[in-house]
Amino acid sequence: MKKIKIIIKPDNKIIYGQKGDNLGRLLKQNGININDWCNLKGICGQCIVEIIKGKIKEKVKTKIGYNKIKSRPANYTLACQVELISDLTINIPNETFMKEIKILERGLETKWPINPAVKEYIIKLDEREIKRVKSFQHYLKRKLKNKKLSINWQALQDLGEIVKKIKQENNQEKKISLIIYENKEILKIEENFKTKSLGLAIDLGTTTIVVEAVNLKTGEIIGKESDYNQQVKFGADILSRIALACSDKSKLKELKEVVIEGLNQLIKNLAERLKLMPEDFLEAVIAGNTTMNHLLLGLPVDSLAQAPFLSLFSSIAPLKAVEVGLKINPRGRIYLAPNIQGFVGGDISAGLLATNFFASTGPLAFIDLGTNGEIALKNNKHIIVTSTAAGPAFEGASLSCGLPAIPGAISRVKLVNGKKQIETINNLPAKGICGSGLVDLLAIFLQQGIIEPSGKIAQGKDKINLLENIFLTQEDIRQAQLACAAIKAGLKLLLRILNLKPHDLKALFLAGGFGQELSIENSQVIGLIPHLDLEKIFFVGNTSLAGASLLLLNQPSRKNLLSFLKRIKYISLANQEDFQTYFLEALRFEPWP
Amino acid sequence: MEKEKIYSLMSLAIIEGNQEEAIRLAEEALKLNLDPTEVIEKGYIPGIQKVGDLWEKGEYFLPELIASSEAMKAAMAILEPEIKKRDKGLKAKGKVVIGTVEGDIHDIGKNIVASMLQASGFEVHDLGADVKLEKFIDKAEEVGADIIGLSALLTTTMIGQKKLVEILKERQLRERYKVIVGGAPVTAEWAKSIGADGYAENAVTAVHLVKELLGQSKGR
Repeated sequence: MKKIKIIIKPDNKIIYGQKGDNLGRLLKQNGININDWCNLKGICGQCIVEIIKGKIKEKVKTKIGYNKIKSRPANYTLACQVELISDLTINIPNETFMKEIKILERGLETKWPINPAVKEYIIKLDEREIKRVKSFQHYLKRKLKNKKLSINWQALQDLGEIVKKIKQENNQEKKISLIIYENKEILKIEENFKTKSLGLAIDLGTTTIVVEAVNLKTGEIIGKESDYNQQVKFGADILSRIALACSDKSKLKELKEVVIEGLNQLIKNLAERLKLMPEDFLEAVIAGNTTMNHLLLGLPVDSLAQAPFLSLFSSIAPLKAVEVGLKINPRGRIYLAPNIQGFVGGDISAGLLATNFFASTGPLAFIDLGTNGEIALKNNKHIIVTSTAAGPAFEGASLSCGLPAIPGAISRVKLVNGKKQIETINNLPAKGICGSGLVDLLAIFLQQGIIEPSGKIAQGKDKINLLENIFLTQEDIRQAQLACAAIKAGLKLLLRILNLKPHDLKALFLAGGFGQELSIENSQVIGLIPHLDLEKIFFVGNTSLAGASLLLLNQPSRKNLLSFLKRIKYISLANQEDFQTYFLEALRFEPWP
Repeated sequence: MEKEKIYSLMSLAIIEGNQEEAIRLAEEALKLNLDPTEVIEKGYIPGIQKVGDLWEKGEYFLPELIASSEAMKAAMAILEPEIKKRDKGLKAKGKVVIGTVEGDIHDIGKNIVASMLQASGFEVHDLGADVKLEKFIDKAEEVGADIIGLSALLTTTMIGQKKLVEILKERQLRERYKVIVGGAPVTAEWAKSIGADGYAENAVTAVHLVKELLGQSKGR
């Protein structure tokens, strides 16, 4: 069959198709990212193209879609309604392309099209058309060209009220808006267009919770709130909470209530600050670790208390906000980022998605530095992941003079002409040392011979003074050694499993609590991370939150994530025969070979 | 070479964690027909005791501790057959059954304790990790142990230590064994609350504890 040639302005890109091909589909197939929110059904009216030269056949001039281009010249059409009959020259206006957002400030270049699970469609309810259908539901299905579209009883109530009004007012037509979830369920129908298309991305951590408000139409982050996870009062580490939850049913309930209350408070604060209502949020995507995901839903965690640490679920269908108890829009939905295995949960699956870890070519490594350090590694065939107990030293928690990364914490120490130059967060008087400051100090003391590579303080001292009342003890250094070794040994073992050398890595992503302050050079001096070129190391910050935003703004990525997770293999370090040898070796402060 | 000179070299080899040297010296001692029991007591044991001191001062950490106890074990492996041959039988200072409790797969800490105990002259039966509680008792009965050592690295698996004490009581064996516990979340209070006989924070204090419980401590 004769090929049809299409020249695309303004770049003069040329693609080929055949007679009868759908132009929209052909553009997508050729990697041209036109907006196809409605799956090329002619409903959303987004895939606008200008036909400059050539003849076309239009399938149906869908009213709802073509309304969007009414005001444009006659040679504008919707690509999804065009059937090819001859060679074409077309122009694709800028607004036709999917709006893309960049999820991570740093990292490999990745952009994601905005395509949320919650979408708003505006249609005209025209009573004259209604006469020829079985029911209002069928009318809506046909109008939106979506046979799978279901309508729940709450939305039927909305519809009933609107129909009642039409009858009373004796109108023949009315503009209404439909809020549709996952292209298959009508959540809400309105005539006053009150609902705003907003969503929440939530990082549900063991220690802190971060809630971010996101505009689902533009991808813009409009506000952020964070606080400690109030469960901290039941124990700082996740295992003490598991133990508590297992001890008594009422404790499990209490743990759930506390985390829900904390989330609702944050949502309320955020809404107030933005002059919004909690009801304005139609969906929340939550990325939490395995245990937090269970506790959020009030699920027993007994299986997580003992080896082999099996979770009850990997992924679950979106939940109703009211079921979970989350105070967003009562019709809203909650989507949980899927757990991977063991303690490697939704925070990590979201993080790997946000860094585009799965789709990028390897070898790549990802390290989330927290109390539990998670490490993922991939070559071009396999992806493996593990978690390792690093302890809280790098979060400043277990040190004599340790602090989290809060104002007044020593975040950097530099050696200038042989003198230590100390930087604190917000330049406040130094109150203690946080993780990044600790790494600098260790590296400096190692280089000065004040600490030996074995971790021992030289000359039989038991403490190194930094400032008045701020010091490092021998025990502090031991804690740091343990934390560093857990990460180093974990990464080394994963590299061995995939038969990789550190310098094979194309990129190393460092996520988590350190912030942006951590010195790469000094991390390499103490052996926390391998020697790689600086441009291969990316501090990616809170990837759990970034991943939650991505899952919120791009529904197809949810399905992609699940298929990525099928390829991932979980490695239990404790079951690796020579982990002990690796770990003991890694306790020495020395750079990677 | 003088006996005393060899003994101090043995001690040094252990302190330095020099396994090759420790083995070489043990072989030399046999060639010189030294009494292997005395060699252990006067040559190697002072070395491992010094290692314990260095640990307690904070100068030694886990790698040094492991290297020294491995060197110690290697030297003993050379000497023990000879002791048996002479049919004098080096009487172990005591028998310890040790392991990480069921549901817990972490065993680095337990391995280090086992290694130090062995290096200090105890007969150690290491059952590994994720060990069924009954198995501790069965093994203790089988070998005629003095002590059962239980490691737990998780808040959620510590409960196994408590259960073991209870099972011992049920089987009316509680008086037969001393039970000692350890692991990151374990504390002296916990040990007391579950009715264990002792708690040790690390491998070196575990050696002290075992000696104390067996009435062998010389008073520190």
